[in-house]
Amino acid sequence: MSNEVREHADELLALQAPPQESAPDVSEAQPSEQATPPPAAPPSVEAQEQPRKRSRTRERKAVSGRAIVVTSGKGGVGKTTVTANLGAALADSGKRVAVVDADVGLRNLDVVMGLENRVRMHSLDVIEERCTLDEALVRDRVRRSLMLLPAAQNRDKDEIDPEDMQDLIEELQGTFDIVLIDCPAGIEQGFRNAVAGAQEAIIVTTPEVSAVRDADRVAGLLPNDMPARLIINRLRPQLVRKGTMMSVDDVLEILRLDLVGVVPDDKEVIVATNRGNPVIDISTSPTGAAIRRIASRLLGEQVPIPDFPAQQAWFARVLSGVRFPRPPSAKG
Amino acid sequence: MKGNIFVVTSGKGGVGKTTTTANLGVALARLGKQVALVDADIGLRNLDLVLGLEKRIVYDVVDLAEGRCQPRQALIKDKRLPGLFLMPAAQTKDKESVSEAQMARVVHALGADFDAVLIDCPAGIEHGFRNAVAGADEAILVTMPEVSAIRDADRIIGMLGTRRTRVVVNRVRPEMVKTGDMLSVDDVAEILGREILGVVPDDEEVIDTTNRGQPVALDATRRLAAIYSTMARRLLGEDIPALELLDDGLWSRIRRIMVGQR
Amino acid sequence: MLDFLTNLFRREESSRSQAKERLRLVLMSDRVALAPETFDLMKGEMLSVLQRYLDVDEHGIDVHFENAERRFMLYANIPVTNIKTSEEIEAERHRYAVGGNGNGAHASGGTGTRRRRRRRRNRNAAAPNGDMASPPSPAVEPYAQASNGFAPPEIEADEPNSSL
Repeated sequence: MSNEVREHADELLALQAPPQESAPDVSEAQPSEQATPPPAAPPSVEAQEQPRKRSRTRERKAVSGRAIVVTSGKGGVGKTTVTANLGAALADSGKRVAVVDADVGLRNLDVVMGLENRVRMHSLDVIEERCTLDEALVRDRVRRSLMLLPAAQNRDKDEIDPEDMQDLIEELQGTFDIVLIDCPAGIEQGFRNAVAGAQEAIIVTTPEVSAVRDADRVAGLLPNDMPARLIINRLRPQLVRKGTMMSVDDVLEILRLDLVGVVPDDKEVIVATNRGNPVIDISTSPTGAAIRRIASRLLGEQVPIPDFPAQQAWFARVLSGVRFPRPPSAKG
Repeated sequence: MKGNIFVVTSGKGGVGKTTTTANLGVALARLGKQVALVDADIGLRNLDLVLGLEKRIVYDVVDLAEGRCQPRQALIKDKRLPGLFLMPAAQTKDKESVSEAQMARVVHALGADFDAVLIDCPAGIEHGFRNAVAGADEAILVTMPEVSAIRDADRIIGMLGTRRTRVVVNRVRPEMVKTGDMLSVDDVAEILGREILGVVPDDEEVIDTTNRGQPVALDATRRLAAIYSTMARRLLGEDIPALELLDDGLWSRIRRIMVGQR
Repeated sequence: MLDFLTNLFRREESSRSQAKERLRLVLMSDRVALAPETFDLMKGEMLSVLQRYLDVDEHGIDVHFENAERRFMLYANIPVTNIKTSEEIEAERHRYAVGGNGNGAHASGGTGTRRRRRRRRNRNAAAPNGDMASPPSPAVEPYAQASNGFAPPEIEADEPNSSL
């Protein structure tokens, strides 16, 4: 193991000077965890005074995959959880999926996916040509067709230009069916970069006033020609029933967006994140089930959005010890 | 205590910075202090909404920073409490409209007139964060017992320099700590290595009060009000040991659970 | 196979302790990445100590941290070109005991991407006997010695000493 790992020398930590060129010989010795490399543009070997940006030199290729940014404005509404789980669900449907962490400096997609120990290189290493895109991708522990492109932890978001992101995402689209971009909170440079690489958007909100307000703002900041769809996350049907929480309809009245899914709140998400496992693998979790439905809808299937009556919460609790092949449907 | 300027920050979004800012402000005002709350989340403002003051905004912090109004004009006086004021963020500008130096000047001027200034920081570590932190003497770091939140909090601690940093552990769920499904307050304190300002249990009342623009600390009968009041008193320098909540049996049991003792 | 066993083990521990363990490791990794100058200082001091006993090929040195499944390791691969004789070792120790600190004037081995290190090296080169004119370099507490694995790196002024 130490041989393979040494070959993934982390530029940030190694005493050696960072290699001026990528090491093409390393890709031959790659462990089976790496995807079959697409033909990468050969990096230049000349000495450089400042990090050279690959976006200025790489030839553009035809793209085939979809690039979707998962954004929200408000932090903490579930973008990273949704991105990780959607990625897993889409991979289960047979798609090749790349999830991209665009939160430079505050990365978390790695930890939510339980891949934090396998991160070696990151997107800025690729952009600054210290490694190829393929060398930076981390394969999921369970799903072979799901890969993560990590963000740098000790750099700033404004060290990446929108063009850099576009270039990266384009290359990913050449190999993967779907690229999901996990957008940072806010509407600053990180947000702009994440959006720059995408052709579609998913806006995540919760049924709370601040989140809805921020989602509205974000919707207004997306390019006019970018299709945007809404996920209402962390719905708590009992609270809607009590009148404490906005309903799905309340949210849709304010945010006039196409709804691609409603995801109920579930404390199992916390447990899953503790372990670095996807919540879609917890068969009793309504959250997991809802995200699977969203994945199907993204692939064009007509899957109805269930009502989430308050009774279902009670029902799920009663049956929490019993396994079903599918989540229980609404009573009645 | 005159002029202490606190930034309420977290790194991770959604852990409760704005709620904490609003409720701490209310609690301080209820203790008779003059408090200015500053919303530094330009472009994505929410402190006004949480306080229920969104309809009274005329001028905002960008107007003040660019000299279009006097300080008093940019401050909204809360009608419920004599000492509580809000300086709202601009909604249509972006965070690059104000520089760190401008923000520092604004909050220092407020610090001269108020007993406490609380700056509601945006999520992240970009320009907005740097602006919010620029003028602050001390930091209140809000986090929750969740892996990403604590990781981001640790990162933030590194960016706060030598400022005194106290942690609010928000949205704790004692029943999940008891079953081993959630990190305990002790875990958080150990990992972050900073003093704890307070512990706030997860409470659906917060959603309700946010919807109505009536911070929960306004209502002395609510249990969360007592928690915020204790935190406010600690901010004012009272030496109340951490986790000494109300002394009825329910609370001491919850306290034991939250620190992870079985 | 290791993954399967690890996961089997993990399923039996609470998700809380699993979260705590993962956080501990990830924060070590994050903190190290955020303090490259500190890391350089540490490597420099390690090399100084080694060079009292060995000659090393500085261009072949590889020192780095690795985050494995449950452990955070420091790997140091250092090609040794010569082992010093006991007389040479004694002479070095004597030299360091007199007025120097543990850091000396070693070469960095890297291409000197950190400007601070080059400046310090030049300053020390001007005072080859390690006299008191060189300012004491801050000591770095090695991670292995951190009491609970969570203590963030702190740089403190150090008294001159002769050992790491």
